[in-house]
Amino acid sequence: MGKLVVIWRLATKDLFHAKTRTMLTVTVIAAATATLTLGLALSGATSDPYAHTRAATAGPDVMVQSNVPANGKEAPTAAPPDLIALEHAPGVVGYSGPYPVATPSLVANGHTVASQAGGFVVEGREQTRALVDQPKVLEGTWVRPGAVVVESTYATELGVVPGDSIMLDGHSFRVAGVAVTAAWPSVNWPGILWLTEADARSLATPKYPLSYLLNLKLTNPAAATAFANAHSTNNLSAFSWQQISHQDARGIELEQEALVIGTWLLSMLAIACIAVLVAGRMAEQARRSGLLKAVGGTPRLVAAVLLTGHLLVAFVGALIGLAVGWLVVPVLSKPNDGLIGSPGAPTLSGATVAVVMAVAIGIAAVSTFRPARRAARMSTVAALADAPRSPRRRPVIVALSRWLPAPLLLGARLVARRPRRLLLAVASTAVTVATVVAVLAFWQGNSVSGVPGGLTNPVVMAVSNVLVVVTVVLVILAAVNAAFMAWATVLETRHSCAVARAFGATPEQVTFGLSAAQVLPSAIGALAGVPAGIGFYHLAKHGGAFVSPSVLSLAATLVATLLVIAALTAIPAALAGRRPVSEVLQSEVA
Amino acid sequence: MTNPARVLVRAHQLRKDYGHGEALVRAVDDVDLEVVNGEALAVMGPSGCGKSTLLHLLGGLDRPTSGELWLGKRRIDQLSEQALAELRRQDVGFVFQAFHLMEELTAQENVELPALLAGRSPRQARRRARQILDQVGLADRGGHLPSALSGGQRQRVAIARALVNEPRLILADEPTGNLDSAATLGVLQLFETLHAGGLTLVIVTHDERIAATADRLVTMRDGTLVDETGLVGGTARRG
Repeated sequence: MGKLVVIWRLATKDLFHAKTRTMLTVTVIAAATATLTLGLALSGATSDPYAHTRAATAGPDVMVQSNVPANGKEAPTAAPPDLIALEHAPGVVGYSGPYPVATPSLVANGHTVASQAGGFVVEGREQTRALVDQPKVLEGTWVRPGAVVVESTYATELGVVPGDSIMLDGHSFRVAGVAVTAAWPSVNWPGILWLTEADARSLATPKYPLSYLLNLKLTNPAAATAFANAHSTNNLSAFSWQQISHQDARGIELEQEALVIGTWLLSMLAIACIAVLVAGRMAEQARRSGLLKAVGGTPRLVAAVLLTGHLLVAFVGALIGLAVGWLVVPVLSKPNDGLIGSPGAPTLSGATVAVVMAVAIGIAAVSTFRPARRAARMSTVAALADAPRSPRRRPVIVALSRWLPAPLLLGARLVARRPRRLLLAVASTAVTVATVVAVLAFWQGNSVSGVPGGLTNPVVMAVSNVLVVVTVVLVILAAVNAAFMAWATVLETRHSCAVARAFGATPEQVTFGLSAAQVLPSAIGALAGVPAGIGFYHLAKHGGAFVSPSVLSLAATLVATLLVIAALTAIPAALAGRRPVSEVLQSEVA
Repeated sequence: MTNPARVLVRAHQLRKDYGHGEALVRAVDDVDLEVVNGEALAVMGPSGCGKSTLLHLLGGLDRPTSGELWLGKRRIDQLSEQALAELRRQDVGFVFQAFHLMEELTAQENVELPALLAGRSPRQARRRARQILDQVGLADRGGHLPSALSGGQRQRVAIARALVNEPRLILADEPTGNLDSAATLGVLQLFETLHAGGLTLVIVTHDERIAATADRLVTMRDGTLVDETGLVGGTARRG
């Protein structure tokens, strides 16, 4: 019991003693765990809004559309018989339609969209209430001659509200209302406009004839996908409500994928960050460990104190991360304008909490284990003397660096002393640059295949926002990481730098050398991050055409990354360069 | 009166304070000192009397709080850090009690370092390092890491490093403090050889044997010089 009290007291006192570092560690873990919480909690967040919308609009189990005949074939003037035959197909208990579907061009609010290019469709509807798929009007009124109702998501994209006017094939229509439907996916799909049947038919031309649409209710809605697959032919395209729901959920799924991938990247950076923090702390704490051992502390006790402190920090960080994630889930999972209802309370299950806690504690344990073991094994005399850990000799780098100018000579030798930190610096920069390049590739890819009429795809926007958030957190974490690494390097190399200065190295040379010790490996990481980011994007989008950000944006990313790292590392390096040499050398023999 | 042309180091009213107010510690208190070219000066005194601080001030490792400090005809107490670094690179060589060798570099690489910092080519630096290591009797130990050398050998590597840029002044802080008798004797002989070659030495020491080899001995207490003894020709001179 007494030992536990000692461990607790020493660990907590140390955390409060190094407040800034403790808070930074908590922040790093909270960032990683909040992202993980979001990724896990977003699962299935859209199913409720689609179900609400389906219930409120008597949504169809299957939507069937006749295809426009290929060139050279005469367009039908009425719904094709094979479509009409489905009204009484086995398993069908109700239907609405067939409704005419026109593909005119649209001018609204400065946007010009060709329906034929896949931008939107115009569905002709009766003015009375349909038994299957009666869109729910959110604002204004339902269709009437000369007036159009616009699907809610598309109305938002176009920026139109009831009372505005839009032009369809040169004819002016007043916007009567804004409505939602469960018969069409509300995102990642053409926009929908509803006119009266007569108005829709008036938009047919020999070049762009009508197609027809039938909404069906089945005796067994669960088997809708099988029904849709069975009745899709060369002439007919059928979609089940499950397929439509999946399309609506796709936005959230992509956000979730981005968050989960971002979480892994953040976790890697968090491990790197905490490893550097702990290593830096160890460089400061050697004497404290020595004192603990000198008064009877066992190596195990020393390791336990260090582990306890960091596990405590991880626990607090994870709690904050869970709370932040829980608060942010409703914002990210908010249904788009095309659905009604709220997603309900975010699902923060026991499993999610357990996974998040395990990841946070795992990060802390993995990054603390080696330094704690090293502190425990360090000789008491060496620890009391606060002797810096002997670096490894790298004869090749020592030999090659002799040919470099003095600052780079110092930098290269400092880099070579700590190969694991070098790898962390390379990995940290590579992960950050890869993420930035992947986001650039995503924007490049999605601006090329954007929605017709210069409109914004809401899914692209949502995923883009999530990516930006993840990237900003990653960049901040990488920046903190770079500063910590520089700080840890400064602490560990204080003796070598002081000796170099005693023999004539200027403070500027030492500062530049310390900065170069960070920038050199970061440059390697940044270069590796470019192909990694492009590859990462293509893996995430599961194939398709090759997309790469422009050379200019890649070059700007590399230059900006290295400049930021140089600036961040120059601060602790410059502070170290200003410390009097005699003070450092005397402290080493004190 | 010393011939001003022969004076290499001149300190006038040199003072170094640490801390402020009630916590102020005056490590060096209005010290006046001259060291002429080719002279070997020993500085003795009890622990904490300010010997090492004085040595650091003389070599530009630290800045005085007040007073004047000259190296040859150049006033150095007001130099910038950059200029002090150049001074340490060209004109001053340090030997420390704790050796302060870089553990990951071989003996030869440790000796080469100041030469490389001074802008010599790697080939020149290597040649010069070998020459100096030979001079201190370690020609066959150049490829060894400090951890593979004895204390005496490490200190001789440190002396070689101090000599590599052919400085005008060698400042040694307790150079035999960490050595056994045999190693002390070796270092002692080395200093005598250097002194005989005309090098100017200022040695802070507790060791009477080292002090006895000097031309002059000054004693410090509480930051001030309290006693000065000329040892050349056996004539003691009170100052």
